[in-house]
Amino acid sequence: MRIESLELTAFGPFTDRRLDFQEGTCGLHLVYGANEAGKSSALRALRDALFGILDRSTDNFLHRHPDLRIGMKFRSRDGVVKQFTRRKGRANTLLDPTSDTPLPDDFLSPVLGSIDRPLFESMFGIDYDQLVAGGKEITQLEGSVGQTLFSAASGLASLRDTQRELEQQAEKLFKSAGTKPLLNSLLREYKDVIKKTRGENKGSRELAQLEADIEQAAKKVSQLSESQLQAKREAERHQRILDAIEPLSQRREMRERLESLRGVPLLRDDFQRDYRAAAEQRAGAVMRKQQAEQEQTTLRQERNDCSVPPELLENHTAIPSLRDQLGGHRKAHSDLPELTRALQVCRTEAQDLLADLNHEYASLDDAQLRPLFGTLGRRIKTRRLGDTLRDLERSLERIERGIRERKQPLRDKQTSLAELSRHPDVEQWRQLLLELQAKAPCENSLAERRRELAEVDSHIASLLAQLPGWAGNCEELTRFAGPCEERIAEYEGRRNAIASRRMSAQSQLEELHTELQREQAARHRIEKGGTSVVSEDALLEARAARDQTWQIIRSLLENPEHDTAQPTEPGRLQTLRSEYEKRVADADAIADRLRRESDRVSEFARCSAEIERLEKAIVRTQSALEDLRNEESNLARQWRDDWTPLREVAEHPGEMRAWLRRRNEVLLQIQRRDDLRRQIDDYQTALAATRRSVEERCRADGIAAPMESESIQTRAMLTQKLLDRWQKEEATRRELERDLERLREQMDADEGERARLTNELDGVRNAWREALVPFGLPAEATPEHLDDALNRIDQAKKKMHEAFGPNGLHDRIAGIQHDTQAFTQRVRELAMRSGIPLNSADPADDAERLLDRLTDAKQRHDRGIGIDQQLEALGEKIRRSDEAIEVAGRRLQVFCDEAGCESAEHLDARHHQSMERRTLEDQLRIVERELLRCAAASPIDDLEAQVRSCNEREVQQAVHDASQQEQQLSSELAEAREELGGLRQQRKAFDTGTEAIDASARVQAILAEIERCATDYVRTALAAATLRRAIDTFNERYQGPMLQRASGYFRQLTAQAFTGVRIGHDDNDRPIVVGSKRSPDGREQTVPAVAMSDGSADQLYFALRLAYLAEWLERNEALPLIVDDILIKFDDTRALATLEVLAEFSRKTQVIVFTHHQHLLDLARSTIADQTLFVHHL
Amino acid sequence: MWKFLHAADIHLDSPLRRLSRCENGPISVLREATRRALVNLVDLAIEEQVAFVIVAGDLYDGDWDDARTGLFMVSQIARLREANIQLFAIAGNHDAANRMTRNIRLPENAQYLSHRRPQTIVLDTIGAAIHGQGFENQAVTENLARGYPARRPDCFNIGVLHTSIDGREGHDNYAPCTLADLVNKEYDYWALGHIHARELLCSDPIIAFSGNLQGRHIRESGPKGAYLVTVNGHRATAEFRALDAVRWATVEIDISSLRHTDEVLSTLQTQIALTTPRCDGRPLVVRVELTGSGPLHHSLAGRPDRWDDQFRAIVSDQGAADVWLEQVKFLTRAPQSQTRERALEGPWGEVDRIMERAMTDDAVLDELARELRDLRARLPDDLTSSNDGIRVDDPVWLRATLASVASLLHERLRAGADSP
Repeated sequence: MRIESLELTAFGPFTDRRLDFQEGTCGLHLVYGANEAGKSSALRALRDALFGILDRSTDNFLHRHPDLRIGMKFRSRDGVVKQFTRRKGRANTLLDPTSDTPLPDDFLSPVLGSIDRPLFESMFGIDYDQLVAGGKEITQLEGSVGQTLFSAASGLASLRDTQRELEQQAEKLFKSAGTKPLLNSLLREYKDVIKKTRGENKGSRELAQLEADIEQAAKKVSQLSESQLQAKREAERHQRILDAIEPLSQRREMRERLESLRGVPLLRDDFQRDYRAAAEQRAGAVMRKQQAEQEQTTLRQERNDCSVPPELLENHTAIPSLRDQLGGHRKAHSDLPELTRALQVCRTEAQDLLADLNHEYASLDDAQLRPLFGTLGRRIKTRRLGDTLRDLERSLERIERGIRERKQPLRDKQTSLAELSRHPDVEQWRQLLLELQAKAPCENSLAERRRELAEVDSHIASLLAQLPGWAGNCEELTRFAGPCEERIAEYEGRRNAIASRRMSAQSQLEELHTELQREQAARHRIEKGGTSVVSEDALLEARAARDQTWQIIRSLLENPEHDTAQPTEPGRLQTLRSEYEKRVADADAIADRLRRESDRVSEFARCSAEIERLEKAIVRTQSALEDLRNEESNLARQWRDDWTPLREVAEHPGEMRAWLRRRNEVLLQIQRRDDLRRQIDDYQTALAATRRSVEERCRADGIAAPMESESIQTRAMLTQKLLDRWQKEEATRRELERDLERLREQMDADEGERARLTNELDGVRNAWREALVPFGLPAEATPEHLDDALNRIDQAKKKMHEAFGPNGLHDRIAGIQHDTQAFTQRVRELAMRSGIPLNSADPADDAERLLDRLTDAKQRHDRGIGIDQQLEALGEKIRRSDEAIEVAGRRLQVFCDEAGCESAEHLDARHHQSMERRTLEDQLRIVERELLRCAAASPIDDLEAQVRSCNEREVQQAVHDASQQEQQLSSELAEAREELGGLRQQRKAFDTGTEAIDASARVQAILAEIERCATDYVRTALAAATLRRAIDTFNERYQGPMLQRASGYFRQLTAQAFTGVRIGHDDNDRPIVVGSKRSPDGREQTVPAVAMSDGSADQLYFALRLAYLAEWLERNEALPLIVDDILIKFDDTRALATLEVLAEFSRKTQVIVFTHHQHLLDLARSTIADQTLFVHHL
Repeated sequence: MWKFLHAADIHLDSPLRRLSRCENGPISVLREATRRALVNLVDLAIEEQVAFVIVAGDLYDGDWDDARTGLFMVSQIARLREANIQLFAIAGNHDAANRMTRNIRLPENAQYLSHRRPQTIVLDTIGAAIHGQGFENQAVTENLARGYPARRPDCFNIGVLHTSIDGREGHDNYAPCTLADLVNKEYDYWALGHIHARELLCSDPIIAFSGNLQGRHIRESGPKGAYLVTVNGHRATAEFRALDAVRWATVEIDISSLRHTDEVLSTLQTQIALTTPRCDGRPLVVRVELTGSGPLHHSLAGRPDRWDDQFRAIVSDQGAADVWLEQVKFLTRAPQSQTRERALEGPWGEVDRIMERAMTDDAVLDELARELRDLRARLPDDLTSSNDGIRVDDPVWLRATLASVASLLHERLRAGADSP
């Protein structure tokens, strides 16, 4: 993938800003922006375009979240250019920039594959912080090979922390030998609770035993309780005898006094209150009687003054009726003149109304006018006739107006119809249109294919030109098969293996040389010690010489004659002896030295042996290296043979793969070109046939033929317009014809209706004229005239009815006169019957006087009746007082009888005696009750006899003994009850208490906790183990290729300060990543990561990252490398070196570097070729 | 017309399993769930004025011997006695093993049917014959049903049996028999016990397991209770009545169609809101199972501890309803495309490659699992022996756990990368 452009349509500080990355094959793009220019926003926009705008994006300070838009145009590996717009949201965030319609969610999947945002940022993005953190991580990892490579390849700067975190988390959860970790603590708690749960259980067998114990204890309590009761009863019996002595004495005295009061009756408690109440009642009744008699005398005197004449009172019902009539009489007399005047007005108005109608009617009197009103009943019929006449005239007028109005539209439509013209056969044109519409897209397709063809041709030419080492044309390329992927993979595998072995061998060789030098120096030091170093060989040689001399001496001594070679000489033996002794001495001296200098000797021997071994090993390793070189050159030869047709052969399989991919792209484009050519031919043939059809049709219908340049689409559009016009005209024609038909039908109907209405109107007009005659109206009178005449008649009739109708004015005047006469007669008659003389002329005044007299008589009469009633009540009161006096007397007598005394005066004394007797009897009963208790249900007399017969002191002793026994038993009973209570308390614990199920629930809760923690632990421990293993396997797989590539990058990045990266060993002989450099004396030195400067460690990290990325790019779709200001702390030399590395790397994939340092731009421009470096300003 | 209740497997005072400590929960309700369910059973018997209650075995639980449990049973049966209701029970495998069965004497209105031979109790007043035989020891493997007596023609015949019938998963195969064995007896109703899941085996005659009275763990989810049986002549209708005090339910959240983690939380809230009304006010214990394959897999499986805490917070914030989270099961899988492609490349790919190999290669799995040997030796048997416990020795369990380990690793490494 290569980004062609980034559209910052609405994002961060940008509005419609565009960054164009199209120049160059891949290119190193330097995006420069000063502070606040929006460099960070642009960087975020690039990532957000690919992976979506983050939910909490802070780039909304200028454009609202919903309005954020980023556009991107990119070219995929197969050369296809695509573009999209990214908006913020959760779904459908990818839009087609041309139509603004959503693109499928997997639109970017072909280029991004499984790369998501975090992976992209860790692999293809690097900024200064990541670089520093990565360098620091390498230092902290102390060069550990697996972790260093894994960390750099994944872009992780916290691998060590993550590993440590996982392990610490696991240890916090569980340790096999610990006690503090959570799980260990829970497991301990679990065991404790299980133990406690067993302790909390109260077994059912225990309960059964407890219940048996309770039963036994209860039985014992029952027995003791019974015994105690017996003892108590005995004590009580004796105590009762003692208690009875005093009451018995009292009883005797009381009985004697009662005997003296025998004959005194026991009076009721309320006796005194009752007899005193009776005495008070009698005294009250006497006083009330005296008061009533005095009042009676006074009232009788007043009654004599209240007498009235009886005749007047006899008419007390008839006279008041005059009051009602009196009001009516006076009202009628005041209304009479007004009624008489109104009667005259009505009559005059009726006559005036009729006179306006017909002057003959003015002279008619009441009796003559009435029949006139009756004969006019036919007026309803006449009025209906008038209405009919009016309706007919209006209808006729409406019809005639309609006929007039329709004539003009009819003429207009006939004219329009005549003006419409005929058109050709529409159906055939419709068919033609369909054909044109079907073929119209072919033109676009044809143009599209032609354009595509041109693009493809151009693309093929471009691809061919860019295909390294290829001089042939397309056809030759199609025929060239080239090696297959398996072959490349095999070559790559063998090449990597050889490289790995060579590196290993070189490393080994260097180590061997170093070791050899060390051993040689050691031997040299031993040799420089002064004396030469004796060896075992020297000893062996000395001993052999010694033995040889001895053998000669021996053979001479044993067989002197046999020595022919050297004849025995006198001095010879001596010489031999001396020689022998010397050799013995030499051998002994050597042996002594060997013993004495054994350490030095053995060290010298070891050094010599080691030097020998190392020299052999060096020879072997050099030989192996030579073999590897041969093998490598053979492989390279084979490799070149496979690529014979090419002018140049790339050394690296990755490049070859890239060549093959490019070749495949060219082949795909060639195939596409051929397909396009075929399609273009097909489209051209189809379009020519369609044009011929159009021309024929135009000729047939006399329509102008289309021009050559006119497109099918234009012709289809014109034809469509033609058809639309014809269709519209046809619709208009049909509409006009329908309207004409409808107008004609209406005209005919209106004509018929006019004739019918004219006939009917003539008949009605004749009947009308006849109907007017009775009303005295002329023949030309209209219905309105008739209405006016009838209104007048109705008003006249109403006036006459008001005057002479039932209850009219005339009847009311006659009624008033009759009522006045009857009233006068009635007043006179009542006065005479009541004996009251009257002499007034107005009957109303007489009537009022009569009413006054009656009122006065009635008042006097009512007062007399009231006094009579009072007198009667007083008589009754006196009678009741007499009765009360008698009753009270009788009651007092009854009390005397009850108390047994002769008169009421003795009642108080008798009552006192009765009270004394009652008190004594009550006291006796109390004493006897006490004695009964002492006698314990036996008769008192028996108790008395018993008391008399016993000795008081003996009885007291018996009471004491029984009490002692009871106390003893009571104590035992308390103990037994306490025991029973204890047992019952234990039993009660079984009824309550939920300790066991509480403990059981606790067990389950702890188990749940353990399960949770154990699951966490399992996950964490497995994750840690997996990570360790992943680091190891990654190391095995990628160590060789990564180190080889990283060596080159590191050398470049450090401006040759280091010669490369390789594997060394630390003090504990563990393999570590080291940098190698050459010392001033030309020897190679290794520097462990931990000993590097911060800058070098950062560059080592960057070299390793680039190395893995290069590996990755060989097998996957390229993605741009985004570098964010990593050079800010590099010196110019290394910054320049880094830019050169990035420029070189940009041959593999697009590299976009963001920076806000101007001097970096200058630096880059000064050294990097223009066709590689492209600068963009924000 | 008369009624009786068919219940079984009360397992009184058996604890609710694997329930974490609920700091603010109705501890007494959860702790005494089986007791409350028994009280509910007695309440129902009294309210419906049933003639008798049948318990088809397992009044008590295994080797649980706390006399207070037996006394609670006695107190409830005494309540039945006051309402003039009898209780007929048979000993199940748990009762046969339990001391309380022998030591705690039940009130006179309760009767254990013989465990030596089939016993028939005839209730003349209502015309009912109850046939049954209890377990003499814990493991009865012979077919007890065959020895049951012939039906009484003038009675409504009820067979009471503690059986696994022809075998049921998760239950020991005790007193096995076939459905035909039961049907051939021509009884009018078979009240069965031992299987904790409610099941109507036959509708004419009714042959049914009432299930246990109170669910005690997540595999005993849903309403639990007894059958209220109404008898009219020889015809019976059985109506299930829920009597449990605490309800168990599994809430499954399929992440396939979810795109944002907020959706997981809102789905959980919705699911719980839908489940709660079906519990009729009972406390609810839920297990959340995250399933399916989707883009949220890594985020969920990568930080299971954090999500577990979040889910617990959501469940405890469900307002008035009493809802508790038993545990969260992370059973999600990575989207297929990601898994396949990522396994091919680089450091991240190595992690996936090891996971893939561990899924098929026992040697790789053993090597990874070597880390867990010490843990395995220390874990209680209760955890390692149950089907849904920690089964470190079981490759299937290990592989299921590994499915989330890759995500955990990716998340940790990335989190580290984000915060250098």
